[in-house]
Amino acid sequence: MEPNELLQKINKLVPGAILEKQRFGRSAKTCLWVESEKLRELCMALKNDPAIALDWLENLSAMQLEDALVFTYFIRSSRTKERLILRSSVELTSPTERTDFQSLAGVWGMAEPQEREIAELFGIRFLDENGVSMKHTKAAPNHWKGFPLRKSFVFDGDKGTRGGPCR
Amino acid sequence: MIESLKTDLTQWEIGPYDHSLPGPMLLRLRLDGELIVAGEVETGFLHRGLEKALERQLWRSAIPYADRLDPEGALFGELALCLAVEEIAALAVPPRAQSIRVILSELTRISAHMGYIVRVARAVGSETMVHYVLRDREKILDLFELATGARVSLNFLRFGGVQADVTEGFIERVLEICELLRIRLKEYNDLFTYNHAFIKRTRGIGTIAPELARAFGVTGPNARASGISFDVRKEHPYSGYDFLDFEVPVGRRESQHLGDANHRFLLRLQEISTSVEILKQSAEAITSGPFALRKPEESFEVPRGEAYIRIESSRGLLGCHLVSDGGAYPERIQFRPPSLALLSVLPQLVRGIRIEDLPVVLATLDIGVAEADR
Amino acid sequence: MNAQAMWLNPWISGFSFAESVPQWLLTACGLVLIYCLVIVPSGAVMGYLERKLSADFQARVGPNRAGPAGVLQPVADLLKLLQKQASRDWNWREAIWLLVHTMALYSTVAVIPLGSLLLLVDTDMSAFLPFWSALVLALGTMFLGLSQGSVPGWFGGIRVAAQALAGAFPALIALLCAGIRAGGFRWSEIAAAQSSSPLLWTAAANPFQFIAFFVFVISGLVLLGIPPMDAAFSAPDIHGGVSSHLSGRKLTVFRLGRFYGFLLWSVIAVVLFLGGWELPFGLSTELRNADSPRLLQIFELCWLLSKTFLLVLVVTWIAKVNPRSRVDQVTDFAWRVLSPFSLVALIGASLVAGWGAL
Repeated sequence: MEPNELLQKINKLVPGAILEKQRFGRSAKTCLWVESEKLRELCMALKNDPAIALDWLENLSAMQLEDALVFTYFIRSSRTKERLILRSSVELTSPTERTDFQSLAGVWGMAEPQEREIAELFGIRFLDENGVSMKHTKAAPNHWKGFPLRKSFVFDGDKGTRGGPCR
Repeated sequence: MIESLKTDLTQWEIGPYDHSLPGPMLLRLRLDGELIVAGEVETGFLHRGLEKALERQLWRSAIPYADRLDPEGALFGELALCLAVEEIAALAVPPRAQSIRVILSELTRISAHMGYIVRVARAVGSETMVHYVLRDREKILDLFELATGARVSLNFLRFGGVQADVTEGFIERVLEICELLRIRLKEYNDLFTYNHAFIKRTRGIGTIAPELARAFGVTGPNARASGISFDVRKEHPYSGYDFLDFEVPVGRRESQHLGDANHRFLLRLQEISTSVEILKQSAEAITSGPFALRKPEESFEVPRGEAYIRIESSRGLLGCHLVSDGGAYPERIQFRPPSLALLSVLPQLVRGIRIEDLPVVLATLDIGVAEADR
Repeated sequence: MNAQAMWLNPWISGFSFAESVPQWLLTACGLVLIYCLVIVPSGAVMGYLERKLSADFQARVGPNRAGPAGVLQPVADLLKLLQKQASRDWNWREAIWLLVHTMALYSTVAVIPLGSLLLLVDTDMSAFLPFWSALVLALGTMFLGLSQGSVPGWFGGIRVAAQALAGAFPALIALLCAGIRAGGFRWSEIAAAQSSSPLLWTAAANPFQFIAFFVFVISGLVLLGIPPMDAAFSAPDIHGGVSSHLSGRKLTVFRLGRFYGFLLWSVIAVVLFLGGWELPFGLSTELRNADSPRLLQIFELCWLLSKTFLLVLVVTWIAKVNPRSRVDQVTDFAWRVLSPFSLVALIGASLVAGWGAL
């Protein structure tokens, strides 16, 4: 499906979900910024629409850009082999508190292990469609404080500069 | 048909450190006699903060860290990182370097699969097979040593090429290994693969149905054993795989044992044959020329940009999402390890098997805990 | 004079003090001597041979540091294990295991046939005694597993019991086959029915006896849990099962017991089916005529043991190239394959015996 055709279709399926259309890197794959409130609805539609059938969440990557946490969903259709990249972001309010975000484990089962990782390393609380926090087993030791993959994280004995003792 | 006695369920925790597990992880089992009723997996015991560590390295020194993503297939982590950086910086890798990369990654795949055979043989208690395969795996590690100076963590790829040209005689030895492996594979089959007792131990257990593989995003040899023909080398060729002529083995859909432990094992053996074929072609087709775009010691800037790279590691699809803000350090490096899907599908597979089958299922799944925890 | 002590007579007859020693003491000394001079050294020799040969099978070197070509390795292992500090104190459950184990060991030493003049108990039922002793060994091993209070121990113990019961039936039937041919279950009768020539062994007498021999050896593996039928002691799933908590001295006792069961079984298999202790070239008769009982005892013992070692090595060889079978598959195999075969062998052997009697 052509990117523009796809975009039109999506706009018809879930109006107002797409904020912006971008090109991703040099590979120039279509990348859509999605309104985080409508993310689950959109993904459901993308997965269930027989013409699009994006049924496989290949990768879920999170990164911090200034104060926002950006989620990148790399999706692929196992039938048409079409690929699409979705992006959504959430403002990180407090450096010590967890921020809420929508969980997509209900849409794509393979999101679950990756959300679990992000939840712990970035301090996110993933909520399912009923607004209930997903159960995540905790991997870090009990005394662990903070969310290490946030840019604000400071290691013990480290002034927070890059290339510190790790180098 | 299995009839079970009506007894209380037994709780049994295995791990986090246990030699029947593929790595540090905790398995909580509920047993009805010898049958496993339910199993839960807890991971995170091998979390090293690799992605955070990578953000704190200069671009150049990130490569040895990527090596540690999966110590068994060290080259795949490196390759994914290098490909991602090369895409952002628009570096064209010289053909000779491409060939060297393909040769090294296929050698890595073979050695990882041999390690896999060793673990399966150990799980069913066939010590002789273990030693035979380890003996031949040493020869591949010798080749790594000849080419790169290291046996396991190679740290050999560089942005825009490889660190050094291969040693004189390396290509000839690769061809020799190909010949040797062809003989050895036959030997393994005679000794182990078609052994009746081994087939009885592995057939029909831990079956991943195609739908299950799809639902959990299982990739690589495990998915191919379930009849899903997805291989990144074919679908999104990188490093010149598109110029090579090879067939990716896929489990036959009509087979009634599609996706079981035995099938997964057989598929690894076929993959070794495929890799041997690829090795031969690329060793014969290698051209002379430069092995890198720049001298390794030259300083190097990665422009602002973003890339997502997929490669086929020995366990499946390895993704690398890389973001650069144009500075001296990576902004974010994220890996998508294939083992994560295997860990989440594991509770489905252990249900209903016997505890004696558990090591076999774990070994035939080939879970890399190091890359799953990172 | 009591049978157990009789074999000592050629060795002590010259000494006058022997007359005054009570019989029970002589008997006990005889048993200890056999244990120390035959069984423990056999364990060491077989341990060394097994390690060295399996190293050859597996394209590696094997023990090569302790003594020339590593021959002292069993001694070094033993010394190391004996020195190790106990990982935990004895509890009463383990004490039960040790008691049963010791009883089984010593009672079977009394019934083991080691030569025409080394027959300790030679009664009408003597061929059955070691068989029951093997079951007692299994019982002790099961107790040991259950005593550990851990999941691997339980499974190990239960598997030991399941395998012992499954292996006992075909083994017993195969034993009957040999008895039918010999016309009795006295060791001396069974030996007398065979001769040194392989063509006159019971195993070669007719196809049914050959089947019986095979069934006997394999069901022994099942009964005692010898590789590749050692699911009760498997490392990958239950960490060694029964032996998972043993170390040091306890492990030494346990391993020796395991080896002893295997040796005992192989000795019986050789005596029942493979010609027993009869020396080749009529040497036995000559020595008996020359009235040199000590030489006869030594030669027959060595001859019997070397046949036994060969059998043990063949079994080990097969075990080395085969994966470990799952316990339910093992018991299935014993009930569904070995048992019918043993019954066929029994019927056939009876028919052949009846034919001969006509």
